Amino acid sequence: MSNLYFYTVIIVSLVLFLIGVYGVLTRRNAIGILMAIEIMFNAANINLVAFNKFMHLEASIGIIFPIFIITLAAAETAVGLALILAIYRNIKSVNVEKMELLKW
Amino acid sequence: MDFSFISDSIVTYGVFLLFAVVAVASAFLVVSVRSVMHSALFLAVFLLSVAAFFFIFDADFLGIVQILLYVGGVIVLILFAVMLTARVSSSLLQQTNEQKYSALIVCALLFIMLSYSILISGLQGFENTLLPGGTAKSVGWLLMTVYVLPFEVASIVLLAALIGAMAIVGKKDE
Repeated sequence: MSNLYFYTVIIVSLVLFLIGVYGVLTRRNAIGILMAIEIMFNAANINLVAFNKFMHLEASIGIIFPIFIITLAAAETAVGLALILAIYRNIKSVNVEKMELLKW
Repeated sequence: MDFSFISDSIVTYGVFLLFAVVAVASAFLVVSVRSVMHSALFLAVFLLSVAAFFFIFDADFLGIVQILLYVGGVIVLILFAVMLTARVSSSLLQQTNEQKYSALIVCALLFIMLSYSILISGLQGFENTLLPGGTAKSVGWLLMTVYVLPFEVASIVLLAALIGAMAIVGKKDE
């Protein structure tokens, strides 16, 4: 029973991660890409917490790591949105296909 | 009525499946819906169901952090960015590029490969019942003893991100 439970959790987090990959590959809006990256972070966090619960590691080790991931994801979102707003001010667009200033 | 035949773990499994359906559906809507505003609101639903996963897996402290930081902080930031760029993120514009089908094929292949390797891995999961009464105490103890250096580094990273975000987006007076 708990083996089935464990594998279901891993497959669900895998599906969520792949949805995030799909979003990063197909979105044209830079904010949409940032949201898809958040989905991938959360899928990884689910995996870590599930392994902490089901694989009987040292208590709470698998909970410390998601805390750092959440902290860094918040920092990443703040800097990423600031960059997107700065780009928007310059080229009046958030479409990643229009950001070609550094393209050779 | 006698409900003792329903074991505790079957109930948790059912609740987990319920939230899994909500999470997968809302995550799919985040990447596929046309309006960026709606996709930010579906992201809030997704993050709340992930917080529910954390509560189901006995990680109560992490669930509260998820709600406070993600739903309270990151979603508000994203909504502000969406509103500030409203003119170019309207739902009238095409929001996905032309590599939709190739991306679907890539994701399906990755799914087959990874789920196959998970299923043949032979991992034995069993429920950890070592954490009665939540994890906040042990998490706090670990953060202040074993992981105190990463904890302090994370605070410096947050400060740098704060100053960096203001430096990037702030008006320069010439």
